[in-house]
Amino acid sequence: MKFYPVLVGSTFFIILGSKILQNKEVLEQSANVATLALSVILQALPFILLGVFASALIRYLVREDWIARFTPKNAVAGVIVGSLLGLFIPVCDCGVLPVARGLFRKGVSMQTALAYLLTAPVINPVVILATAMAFQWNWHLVGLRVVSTFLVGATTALLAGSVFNYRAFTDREWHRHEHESSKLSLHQLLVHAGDEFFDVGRYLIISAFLAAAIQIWVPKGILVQATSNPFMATGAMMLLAIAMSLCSDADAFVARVLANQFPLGSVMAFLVIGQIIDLRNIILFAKNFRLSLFIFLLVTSLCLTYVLSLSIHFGLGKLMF
Amino acid sequence: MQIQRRNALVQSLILSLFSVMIVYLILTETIDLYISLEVIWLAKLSAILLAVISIAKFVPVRRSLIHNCCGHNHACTTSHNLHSHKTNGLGQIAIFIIPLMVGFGMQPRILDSTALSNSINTAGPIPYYALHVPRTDRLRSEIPQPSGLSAAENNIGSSSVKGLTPNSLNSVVKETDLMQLYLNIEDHPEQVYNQRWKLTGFVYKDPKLAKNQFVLSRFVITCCIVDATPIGIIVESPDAPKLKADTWVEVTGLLQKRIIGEANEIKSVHNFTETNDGAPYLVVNSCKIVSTPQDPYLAPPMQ
Repeated sequence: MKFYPVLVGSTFFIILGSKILQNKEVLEQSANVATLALSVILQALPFILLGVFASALIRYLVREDWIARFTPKNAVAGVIVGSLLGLFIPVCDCGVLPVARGLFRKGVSMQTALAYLLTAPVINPVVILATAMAFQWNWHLVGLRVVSTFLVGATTALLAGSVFNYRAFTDREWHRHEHESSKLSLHQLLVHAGDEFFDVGRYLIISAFLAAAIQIWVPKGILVQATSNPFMATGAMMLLAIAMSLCSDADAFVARVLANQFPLGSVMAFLVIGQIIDLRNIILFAKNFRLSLFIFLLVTSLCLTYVLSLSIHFGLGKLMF
Repeated sequence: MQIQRRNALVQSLILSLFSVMIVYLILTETIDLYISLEVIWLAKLSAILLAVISIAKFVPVRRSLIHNCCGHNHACTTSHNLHSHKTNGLGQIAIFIIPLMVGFGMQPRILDSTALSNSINTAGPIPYYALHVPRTDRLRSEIPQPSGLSAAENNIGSSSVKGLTPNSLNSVVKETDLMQLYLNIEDHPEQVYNQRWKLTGFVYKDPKLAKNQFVLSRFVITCCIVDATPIGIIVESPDAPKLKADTWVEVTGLLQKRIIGEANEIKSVHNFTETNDGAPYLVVNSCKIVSTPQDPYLAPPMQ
């Protein structure tokens, strides 16, 4: 049954491949795509590995009764704690999902896990420092990025927690049964880290090639036509952030250059949405969450970022700068 | 059980190949064509962690830790729900072979005009070569001094020689890179303009420029080449029509400042007039084709 689709698919790709090889320009562009994709993978690998190790360590070291004792029962307080956890478990967006899953398995609430997932890539010391460096130690801008990310991420997490229950986390990794009584060996810890690496890694590879292809093949000239209109500029910058899928350590350096052409509000939209919804997260969220929760996260964070960006442009930004 | 063991061995092999690939890229000095020199230590850390996990996957889990809670003889890695042979089956693992093939089998491409043609940096009303890189107060770079300068002339980088007229040094050629040049344009414009500079970069032929102009360009990378940002300077040279795009050249010329024509549109050279505002513009008297440098990418100033 499966033989014919495989045969047809293989033939299609062989023909497509041979056509590509015959065209020098397309061949060069394909090589550029492959190079860009591998560079994303090489750069993200350490952060994913640190994420899966942090997840394994949470599993190894953190006890469920500690979580029950120290995490607040109140949803708002839980979201605030989740948003600030990144300061103590600093993982960038490549490795944040395994850590959020580890925390959830240990008993933190859905809102807290989601708040950590959405805000930790920005609200962590490494990224705060990188943003400060990129914007020449302009702490107003750094503060604006952190507060904006907190507002968007925490509000989205809070709303999602009140609309959905834990069953919306459809991936079985969120609901693993933990043996509290059995002691994990180091060997088991590493095997678990390896399993989680393969689980997250394949989505990294897909998103890396997708982002690289968009970088090379999708013309972005149309986006810059929007620079003079703040409504269009914000939308354009959000699209760009999603398409580029930059690491949170590096996106501020790109934003600094874009700030020469785009208004402040739209630059802030680029810095906020790029770490909440990018190609990697879209693929990971779609795999991990029920479709309704996935769409809810997508739409809510996009709308909140858009509104916040415009409010920065028309009011807040003028007061601050 | 056999399926799980087979999957574990395949995963171990893939992890070790990833680790070997990183070591291979470091040894062949091609890794800096993918990621910034500043983060290579992270790649080394990845290679070590991958090797450790690979060994853990290779070594079978002790028999005493295996139970039969769900009829599949799973190793009790504290999970009843993890059916590894299902979640990480061979089909899903196969995707990890693609980056291995690219890493081992393909010579990395150095970013060039192809990456600029679809870029937001060239399509906007103000292209990248007409922008000034924002100034950084923290790490102010100094322009490297030419070896042939006298002691008095060597002080040009410091603030103690403000009386020295720039034109008096016109004949001295200073060598620097585009990043340093841009930073110094922001910090000490009076010491940068009307000076002779030797710069290296690749040729970008913007269709908006005249035939005797091209953009001498470099990419600046922070973490990896996806965040590459171009910087460049308009060069006027009689050799420009003969130069092919993406050729690496070493140019020597006088740096001027020229305004871009009406409506921020770059037009042919006769539309530029000398003024205090405008973009840097290098009038070249020597243009030499050179081979692609070992490290074609520049680092941002704060690193």
